[in-house]
Amino acid sequence: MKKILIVDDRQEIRELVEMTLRSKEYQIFKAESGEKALVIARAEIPDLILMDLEMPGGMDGLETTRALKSYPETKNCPIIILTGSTGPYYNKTEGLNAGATDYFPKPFSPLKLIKKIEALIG
Amino acid sequence: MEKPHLLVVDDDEGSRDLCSEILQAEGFKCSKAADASEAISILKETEIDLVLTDIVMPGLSGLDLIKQIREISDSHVIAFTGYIKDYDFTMVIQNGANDFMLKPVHGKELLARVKRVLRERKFIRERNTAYKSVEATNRQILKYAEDLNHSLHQLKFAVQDLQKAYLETIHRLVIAAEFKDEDTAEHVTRMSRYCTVLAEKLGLPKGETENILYASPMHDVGKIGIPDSILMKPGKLTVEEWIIMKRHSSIGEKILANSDAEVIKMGAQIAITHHEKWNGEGYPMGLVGEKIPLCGRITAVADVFDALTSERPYKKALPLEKTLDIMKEGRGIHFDPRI
Repeated sequence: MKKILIVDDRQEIRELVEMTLRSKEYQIFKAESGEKALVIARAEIPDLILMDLEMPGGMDGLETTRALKSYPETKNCPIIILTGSTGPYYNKTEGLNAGATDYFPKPFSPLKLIKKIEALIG
Repeated sequence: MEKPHLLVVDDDEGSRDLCSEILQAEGFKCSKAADASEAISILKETEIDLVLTDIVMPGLSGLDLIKQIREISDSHVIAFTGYIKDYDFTMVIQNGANDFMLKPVHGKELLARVKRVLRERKFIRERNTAYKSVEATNRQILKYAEDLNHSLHQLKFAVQDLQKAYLETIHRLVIAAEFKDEDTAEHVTRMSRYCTVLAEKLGLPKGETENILYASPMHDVGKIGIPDSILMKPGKLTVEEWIIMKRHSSIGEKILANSDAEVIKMGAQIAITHHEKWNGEGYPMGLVGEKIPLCGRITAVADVFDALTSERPYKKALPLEKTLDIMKEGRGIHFDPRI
């Protein structure tokens, strides 16, 4: 069973993504902040992380992505950024430079996300 | 939340400094401007939560400043003046200020009003953030609906393709089963059309009619289990041979038995009952009247009709009228009179 970690400060998005990916093949973990994401990621070593960029009041998605890429146990874990398509956090280059594998602007197409995930981890 | 950033605009330096001292003592971050144009350049570069402005100043007035603020920033504004006769609360509020005070400014009143306006600002900002978040979620949900719609269409096409493929497979297997018999692919197709027309005329629901369309061609699949010597015998069959020949009904049912698919289930039922007769003299079970399943009764009519109107090595096709006469004679004896 592959492990997927969903990082988003908004509960409704975490649940929406979880519902989208719920299957026998995936075990889903959720984190509402970058700090929580780091703890879960280092304990569980997920096969994939879905990362929101805009998370107020703590580490944002870019910082969290960079941190994950700096730890030996999580540095090879693919990270897909899921973020708002407007505002200061819409910056694909920076996201990819931080070490993310792919970048989906919100609102994202769930079908495309599923296809991408299947291609990445099966 | 960060410390609120305030901007005091007053041409009177003493009043400006006093104001800002009171506000800073209360823990606010405070900038100062001596006139409207200085205030505007500060507002363009810094995010200001609340502007406190004098109304009567050289250059642009405080009221003009409010108009400009509304174009470049979302700051809240408290206006104040010493000219009590010229300006009243209603007018200042109508000009876009969030509150109005008279000079000289009293510390307690100033702080009370500043805090009230900042509280209002906080509520508005929270509401705006929540609204934006709801909007973003709604857009995301729309995307899901879009994908769901797309998936459903694809699924529908996939199911249609699959259904087409499996119905075609049935058709081809039926032809394979009867390859050696005199029955041809055309017989199978005609039969199934006759059955469908009868089912429609009898007012059967659409699903049932469709099942008959695809199930009726399977009525003789059991013939695959009949020896060629009997099946392909040119002359008349002996009594013993007939007994064997009649087994095709039950062989057909065995081949089609225990399926979960409605079409195959009906195919099995038709295979075992299409040689039953209304008067109970048919085979293999000798069922009477409505004990014979409707699909079997329909298939019996279609089967006999097609046999009579078709040419065989040993007989010519009967003309339609003659056929109908024979069929009518069979009413209530061989056939369900209703059909």
